[in-house]
Amino acid sequence: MKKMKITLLLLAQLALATSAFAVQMFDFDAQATMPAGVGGAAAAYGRIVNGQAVATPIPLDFANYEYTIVVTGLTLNTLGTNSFFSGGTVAIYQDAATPSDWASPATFSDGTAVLTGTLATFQRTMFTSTLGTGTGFVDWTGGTQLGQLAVADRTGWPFLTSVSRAASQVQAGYAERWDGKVEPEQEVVATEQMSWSELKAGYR
Amino acid sequence: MKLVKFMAGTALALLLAVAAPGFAAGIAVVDYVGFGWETGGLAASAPGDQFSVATVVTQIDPRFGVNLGSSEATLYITGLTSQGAVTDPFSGVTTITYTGGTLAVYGDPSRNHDWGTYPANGTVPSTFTDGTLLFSGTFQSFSLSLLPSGAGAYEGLLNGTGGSALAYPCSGCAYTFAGTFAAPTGAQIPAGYDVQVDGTLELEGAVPVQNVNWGSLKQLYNPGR
Repeated sequence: MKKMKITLLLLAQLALATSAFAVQMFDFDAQATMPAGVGGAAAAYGRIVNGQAVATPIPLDFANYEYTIVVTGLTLNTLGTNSFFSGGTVAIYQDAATPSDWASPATFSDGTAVLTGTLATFQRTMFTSTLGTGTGFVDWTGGTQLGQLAVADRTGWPFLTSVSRAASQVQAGYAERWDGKVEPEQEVVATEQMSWSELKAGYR
Repeated sequence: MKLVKFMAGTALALLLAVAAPGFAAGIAVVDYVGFGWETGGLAASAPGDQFSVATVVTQIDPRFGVNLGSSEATLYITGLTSQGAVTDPFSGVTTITYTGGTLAVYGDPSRNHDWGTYPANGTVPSTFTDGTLLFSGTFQSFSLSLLPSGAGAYEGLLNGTGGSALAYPCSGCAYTFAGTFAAPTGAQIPAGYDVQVDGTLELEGAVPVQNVNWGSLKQLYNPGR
C-alpha cells in the first residue's frame, strides 16, 4: 500500500513538472561581421533581450545591468550557400557602465564575463540572398556564473539564429543581423540540498 | 507676409517629414519568441493546412506604448494557408508558400501568456490575443524554408490595417522574419508544436497621432510669441 502511495505521489509530481512549459534561453539580437574569405574569422556582437518576457537559464538582473553576447574567432572553413565555421568562442557579459553600441564593438565585451564557452562548429545556410539560418552548439567552460550550472548541464547548448543580410537589418560596418538564442536542451533547475531523511519525509 | 507663409510652409513640410519617415529612420521594431504549428504538421505541409504562431515580445519600440516592465506584449499570427511543400532534391531545402493570414500585436497587463500543449488549446490563442490591440496587419506574402536538420526561417510582408500604434492603414509597410527551429536542432518545444520561432516585426508608419489645436501647432514654430 505504501509503495503504491509513493508511486502515485511520484507520478503526480512528474505530471506537475511537465504541465507548465517553461522555456529558458538567452535571447539575443546581434550584428555579425563576415571574413573576406576562407580562413578568416567571423564575429558577432549582440544584446541579450529576454527582459522579463522569457526566463533565462541562470538568474540575470536586467533591471540593473545590460547583458551582451559576443562571438569571436569563428573561422570560415567553407563558403557557399552552406557555410561552415569552427573554433569560435562565446561570452556573455554583465555591465552597468557602458551602454552597448554597434558603432563601438568594444562596448559589448566590457564588464564581467558571467559565462564563457566555445562554439566549436557553426553552419550558416542562406535560403535567399538575404534570409538564412545558423546553427551550432555551445559548451560553457568559464565565467563568474558557471557554478550556477551543474556540470552535466554545461555542454551541448543549441546556438540557433536567423540570419538577415537585408540592408534594412544590418548596421554600418556589419554584414549580417543575427536574431537568435542560446538555450539548454532541457530546462535548467536550481539544485536544492536536503538530507535523505528529509527527502523520504516528503513522501510520508 | 510672404516670409510668414514661407516659414509656415517650411514648418509643415518638416512636420510631414517627421510623420512620414523613411523605412530605416522611422522603423519601429518588435522582437519576439514563441512557437508555431501547422494543422497536419509542418514538415509534411499540404495545400490547405493552416500555419499559426503564438509568441511573446521581448523588445518593443516605445511608440507602441507598452511598458514590458509592467505589461506583456504578445504577437499572434494565424490564418496562413499552405500552398503545399516543395523540396529541392539537390539542397534538400523545403519551401512552403502561404496565402492569407494575419498578424496582431497586443499589450496586456495581465501577463498571462501560456503556450500549453497541442494548440489550439485552452490558452492558445486566448492568452495571446487578449489586451489592447497595438497593431494588426494582413500578409501580402509569406514563405517558410526548412532544412532537413530542422532549422529554417520565414519572412512575410504585410499591410497595416489597425491598432493603436498604427497612424494610418498602409500597404507593404510591415515586414517580419524569424528563424524556425524544429526538435532535431535541440530547441525546446512544447508538445504539439512544430517549431520554435525567434523573430522580428518591423513597422513603418508606427507614428502615434497627436491631436493639437492650430494655436498650439503655430506656437511650436513661434516660441517667442
